[in-house]
Formats: sequence, structure tokens, C-alpha cells
Amino acid sequence: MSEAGRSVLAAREVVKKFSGPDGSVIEVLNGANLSVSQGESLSIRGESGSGKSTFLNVISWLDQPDGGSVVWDGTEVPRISSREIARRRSEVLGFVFQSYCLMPELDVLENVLMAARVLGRIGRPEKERAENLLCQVGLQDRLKQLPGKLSGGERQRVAIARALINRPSVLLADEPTGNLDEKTADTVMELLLHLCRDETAALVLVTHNPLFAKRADRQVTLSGGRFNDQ
Amino acid sequence: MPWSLYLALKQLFPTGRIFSFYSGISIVGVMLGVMVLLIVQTVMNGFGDKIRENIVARDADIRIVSNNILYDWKDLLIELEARDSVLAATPYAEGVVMMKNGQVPFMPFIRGIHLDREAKVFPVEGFLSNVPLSELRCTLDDLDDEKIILGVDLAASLQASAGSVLEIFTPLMLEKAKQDEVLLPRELELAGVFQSGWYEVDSNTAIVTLRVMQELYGLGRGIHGIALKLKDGVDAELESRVLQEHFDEKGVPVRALSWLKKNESFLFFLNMEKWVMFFIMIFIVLVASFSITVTLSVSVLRKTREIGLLAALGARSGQVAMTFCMQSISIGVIGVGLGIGGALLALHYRNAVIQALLGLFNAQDSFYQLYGFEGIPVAYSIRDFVLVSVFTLLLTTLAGLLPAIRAARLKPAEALRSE
Repeated sequence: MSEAGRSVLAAREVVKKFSGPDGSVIEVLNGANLSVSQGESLSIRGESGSGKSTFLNVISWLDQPDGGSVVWDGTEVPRISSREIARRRSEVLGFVFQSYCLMPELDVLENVLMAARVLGRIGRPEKERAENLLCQVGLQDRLKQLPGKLSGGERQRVAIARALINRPSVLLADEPTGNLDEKTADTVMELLLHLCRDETAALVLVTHNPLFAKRADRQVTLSGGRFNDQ
Repeated sequence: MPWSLYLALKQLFPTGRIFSFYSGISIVGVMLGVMVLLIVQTVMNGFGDKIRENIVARDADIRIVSNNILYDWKDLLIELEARDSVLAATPYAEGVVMMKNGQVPFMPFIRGIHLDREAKVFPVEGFLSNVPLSELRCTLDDLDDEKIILGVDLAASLQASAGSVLEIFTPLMLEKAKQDEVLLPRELELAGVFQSGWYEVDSNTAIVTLRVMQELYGLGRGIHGIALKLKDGVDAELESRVLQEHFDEKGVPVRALSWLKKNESFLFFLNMEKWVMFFIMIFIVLVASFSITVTLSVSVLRKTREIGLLAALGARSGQVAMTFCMQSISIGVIGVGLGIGGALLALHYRNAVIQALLGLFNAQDSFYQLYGFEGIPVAYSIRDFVLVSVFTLLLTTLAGLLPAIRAARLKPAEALRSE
């Protein structure tokens, strides 16, 4: 398999069930299969409640599946210890959330560096990379600003820089433009795709917006707990 | 620096601000608790030391006493004085008498002293020179078998002045009265007064010569005991035990009592009082620790999504818990540091503060009469400082455990979904 075609993230027959308020079992994911290659961008669409965010939580092992397995960059996740899962997660995956999830006590640069700190990598190279990423997202003049002073688009750009600081193989973006106006959303989406290409990171994008979904190399729809290729 | 400590410090001291409001409240709570504990302990130590100093100053290091009258005391006195540890020794006799000046009666404690030896063991000359210059100021040379010296407050109670003739009635006279003998009091002229600075002593003690006391109590040539002054550096308690063993071996029916043993109950209660105060004051630190628990619990609630984010960034649940533990430890360390600083500052300016407070209530004289001290005494004890610091740090660390466990138990996916 060529480097570009190497699978960096795979879900095999993933099952996830929840208990309903009346005690009934709701099967959100029902044998979902998906594989993402290095540098590939993939969009996931689906109706509200179809399990898109749940799928992202399950493949990132933030929520454990009730069945099936998840593979990160060749490592089958259930076979490694929880300590190793945490370390591999920070190495392999980057996250961008709809609500930005920035730490209000930290300035822009500190927020980006926090992801490197958790991985135990904090030094001059990481600081230079963080500054470089923030420069690429156009925030080179806002390094010492607190998140509270930034606009929604700027916050999401900080979150993108944070997601890429550890050079992840895959970036998981859950409705990254959901809180932004049309124009800002378009800019952020373009930035996200561009940076992922530059970093040769795969992108798994959950979005409701069909135009943004079409910009990805591949589009899938989640329906009835399974993926349908489009 | 571990990232959990980094994040804890950032949450306490966010970028762009000196400290967060809630953290500040918690730190001030711990600081006040530590301050109060240290101030109370240090002042109690000071009072204790001052009271011990006064006991040592007005009492002998060791008293040799017997249940019976000591008749063959001269050999014993020579033997005791010959010991390497003993600086001086003096015989004494003491008891209670009834005293009258005109129609004013009193029942004071009276002490018969050996004029040549007393000053070597007791600071009696200092007590006499404490008296302001007046006709009632005297020296030991003014005391003879026809005279008496009274405590300054006792003289005032008896309305006695220089030259007043006091009538003394003793238990021995009561015995004679039972046998229908004529009851004639012993008359003694007031030579002067002394002032020890202790109201209980100054209001209730009279001094006469040993011969007068032997006559009043019908002791013949006997005495009630021998008081010893030890050389500097000799442990009174240890020496009293050595002496007791020596007397027991020789079969001498006397007891050697150190000043510590003699005042054992009083000193025990003094020490108990300090620890009871410590126990009461602990509740301030407990309340402060509880406020840390509340603050951090609210913080866990407010930062639920950030806790989920930390998991997404690769943090383990133990590391998330450590972030909150580090916050409580940091609050504890900073609170203890500020508390120690505040306590030292308050103790340094204690007299200025107490003067200002007493001035407000016009109560300076009452304070000095009550305590007999020039100011509030303090004695710094490293042991107390370490104890208070360690205890507070332990409590504040425990205070962070509950919110830390709550944070660690949050499910990352649910935490990220929280509003």
C-alpha cells in the first residue's frame, strides 16, 4: 500500500447502544464500517440524532463501543492499555469542536501549546510550531489575547491550530462551522482543508452543510447506524 | 513542570489577571485560619513562658519538705549546700495566721525566713526594691524579731502604715485558749512592704524572721523545710529525683519537690489550655478547607467541557484529578505562606495593636494589673509553625480530593456534550 493510501483510521463493525428514557435500547451505530487513508478528507452527513458525533466519540475512544473495533494508525485500540490509549490519542488524533472548547484562563498561544503539554512535549520547537500554525491561521498578532476577546471565527482558528500542534494523522472535526456565519464558516472550512493537506493529515468532517461536505475527497452518509457511500 | 500543575496554577492565576476571585477567597480563608492558629499558639506559648519564669523567680528550684517538723535540719542543710549542683540553701517555716491592725482582721500566709540565707535563694531583695520610694520601702536589714514585712496589697487591705503594730494570732494560741489560758497576741511592728508583681502573693503574704515563726507555731528550733537554689543549667526535676533517691537510701524522711512538681497541676492546665485553644481554632481551617471543596466542586461543574477536552487531548483520568488536587494544594501552600507572613507581622506589631485597642476602651491599667506584663508576651515555636503548616496542608489537600474524584469520574464524551 502506498503511503498516501495507508489507512490511518478504521472502524470495523462498530456497534453503540444507548438506553432510552423508557428503558428501551437505542442502537445508534449498528455495525458501522469506515476507513480513512492518510491525507484523505472525508465528510460525514446525516440527520440530527443519526449518531455522527457518537461515531466520532467512539472512533476516538472517548466513548467505548459495545461491539466492533477501532484501529488508529495500525494499532487496534482495544488491545492496548488505557494509559497507551491516552498517549496514542494525543499523537494520532486532533479535535475541532463546534463550540471551540478553548480554555478561558489561557491565552491563544498557551491554548495551542496545551495539547503539546499534555503529550509531555513542551520546548522551543513546539513553541515555534505553535507560532507558525497561528501565523498560518492568521492570528500571528493575537498570540497573547485571551479567548474571550476573540470572535467565533478566530476562536475556531485557534482550535484548528491546537488540533494540529502534535502533527496528528487524523483530524476529527465535529460541525466546526456550526456556530459561525456563512462567510466566516467558508473561510474556516477552507483553512481546515488547506492545513490538513499541508500537514498530510486525514480529515473526518461531520457537517450538515452539503456544500462543505462536497469539498471533501469523499462523502458518506450515516443512516440507520451504518455508512452509505455517496 | 507537569502540565497538571501548570493548568492548576493557570486556573488559580489566569493569564492577564492576578488571581481568580474564587481562588482568592479560598486562599484568604486558609490564610486567616493559619494566622489565627499561629497567633494564638505563639501568644499562649509566651504567656506560658512568662508564667513559668515568674514561678521560677518567686519560688525555690527545689524544696525539701517533711510531713513532720524538721528538728535536725542543720546537718541536712550543710550536706545539701555541699552538693555540686546546689548554689544556696535556706531553712523556712510557713503557715497561716490571723492578723489584726486595729479592727481590721486578715488571715494571710506567713513565712519565717533565715535573714542571712533567704536572699541567696529567693529574689526577696528585688521584691523589696520594687516598692516605690516611700516610708514603706525597706530592706531585709530592717527586719528583726519585733518586725514584720507585708505584701503591698495586704498592707493596703489591713490599712497598715509604717510603724503600725499588728496583732498576730496563731493556731497554737487557739490550743492554749482551749486550756483556759489567757490569749495574748504577738505584736509586730510593720517594717515595710514588698511587691512581687503577683497579686496572689502581694495580697496574702507576710514575712517574719525564722525565730518569730518558730515561736508563733511552737516549733522550738525546728523548721518546715529547706529551699534550694540550683546552679545554672542544672535540671531541677532531675536533681530532685537524685536527691529523693539519696534520701530514700539514707532513710531520711523528707521529700524533694522541684518547682515543676510543686506546680504540676497548674502547668498541666496551662499546657492543656494551649491545646484546647488549638483544637477550637482548627475549625477555622476546617471551614476554609470546606470552602475549597465547594469552590473546586463548582469549578468541576463549570469546566465540565474543558475536562472532556483534556481527555480528547490525551489526558488520563488520574491526571485530570491531579489538576484539581494541585489546585487545592496550591491554595494550601499559598494560604499557609501568607498566613505565616501575616501572623509574623501581626505578632511583631502586637503591642501597638493592643495599645490602640486598650486605648479605645481606656483599659490599659486593668490589663497590666490583671496580667502583670508590660505587653503581650510571645514565644515562637518552630514545632508549632511546622505542626500548623503540615496540618493545614493536609486538610486543604484532602479538601481537593472530592472534586478531583468527581472530575476524574466524568465520562469524556458526556463532558464534551455538556452545555
